[in-house]
Amino acid sequence: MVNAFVIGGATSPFSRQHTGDFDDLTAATAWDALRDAGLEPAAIDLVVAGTVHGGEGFGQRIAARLGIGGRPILNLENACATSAVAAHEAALWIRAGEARTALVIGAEALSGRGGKPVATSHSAYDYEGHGVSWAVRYALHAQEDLRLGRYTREDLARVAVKNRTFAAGNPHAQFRTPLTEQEVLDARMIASPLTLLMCSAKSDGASALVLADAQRSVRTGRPRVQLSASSMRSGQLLDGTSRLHVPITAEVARAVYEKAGVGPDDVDVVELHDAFASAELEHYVSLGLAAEGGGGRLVEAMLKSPRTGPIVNPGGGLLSRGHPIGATGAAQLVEIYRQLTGAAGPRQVEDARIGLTHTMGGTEFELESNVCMVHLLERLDA
Amino acid sequence: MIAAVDDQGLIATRCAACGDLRFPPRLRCPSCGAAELQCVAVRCGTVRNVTRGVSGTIAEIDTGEGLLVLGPLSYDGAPGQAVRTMVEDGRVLWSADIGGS
Repeated sequence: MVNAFVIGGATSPFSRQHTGDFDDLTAATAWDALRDAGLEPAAIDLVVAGTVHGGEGFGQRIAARLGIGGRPILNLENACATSAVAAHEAALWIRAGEARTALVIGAEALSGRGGKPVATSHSAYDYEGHGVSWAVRYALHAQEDLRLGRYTREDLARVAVKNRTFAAGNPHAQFRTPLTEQEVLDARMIASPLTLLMCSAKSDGASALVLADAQRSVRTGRPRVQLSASSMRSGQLLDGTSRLHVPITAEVARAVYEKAGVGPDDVDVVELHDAFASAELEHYVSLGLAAEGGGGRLVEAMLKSPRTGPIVNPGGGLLSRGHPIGATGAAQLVEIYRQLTGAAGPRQVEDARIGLTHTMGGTEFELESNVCMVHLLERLDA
Repeated sequence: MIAAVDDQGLIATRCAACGDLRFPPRLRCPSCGAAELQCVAVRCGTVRNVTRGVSGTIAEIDTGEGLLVLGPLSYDGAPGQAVRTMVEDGRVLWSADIGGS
């Protein structure tokens, strides 16, 4: 089978108020990714572009700014997992031999959409006039986990501290000022137990990734990074009675580990969907990185040895890098690509060889399980 | 479309063919596709989880018979407490159920 490789990537700075034109910001980021890959726009066979609120014809608008037409351009929306799924789609085209190179773009401008917590879409849990915010949904889950002793409020605070500590090494992260555990606990309560600093922000930003087949992957002069396995699915339709016994993340991760022939113990570096601090702790368990109740200890270990894998969210995660929803998945992949090619600068995880991204989105089914997308990437040693 | 709220609380739909219970109300059963659905009044429940913050006090409420809904509490409730719907200005709130019907 033809394999798909990552050969370059870039993100814009993630920020609260992007003052320029959204399409120009995105096109500039796409240019940066192409330069990183050593390709001219004309060398791109396929464009897959993702945005949730960025309007129609997004991929075509960006391609026009890159001066390329006459090739397939796809627009894709899949909630917060939009550009993670766009990368999956592009990889499928490459594996099928339909494209040799692909440009994956994700972008979002959320900061102009008001200061209130983002409301969830209509679902079995909502009713007319009573839709609740994402923070409330996550908080209700967290309340149950706290009651069951799966983690503590202090563990939640330390997740935010860790991701902020890591973001200090990422010049494009939105929040880079270090935090203390007490500051996180004392911040404004959004939905108990989640304080403001345990919630991801409505950010503006763009990300781009260049994928290629094996032949073109050798030309970058860097270590080759293979997109070894990917799996995507939506959650099961619930009857509204109870939570899933097996979270969708656990199912999707299992499928990816099986396809790639590796286990959670082999993973050196992870970018996972910490939309809220509680989600990070929950996903450790689903991804096999920690046993139930062991999340707090894993956070401690990462704070103590931030260069020794496994490291989760070295780029700052959604909590500190920022969460411009359509750009998040590709930004996670860019971070893992940099980690696996030794280009992550001060946040480099030592000898990172296997990386994983995990992105969630939407609420038509269970919490954030419209989409769960997991990618496993491997550095191939020459 | 069937209204999800009446003057006393919430309305769910139950499939006459397979018994599937859904909230908010549906026009077709998501389990078997049947079109014959009965409206079921949802008035009581038990608090399962509560969160407080900028949206006020919101609870996850187990209404029994296999239905979990989210909604605002009119008081400072806690898990395990019995609650009952009340409607104010067309908006459903859940208040402490102190017995009665």
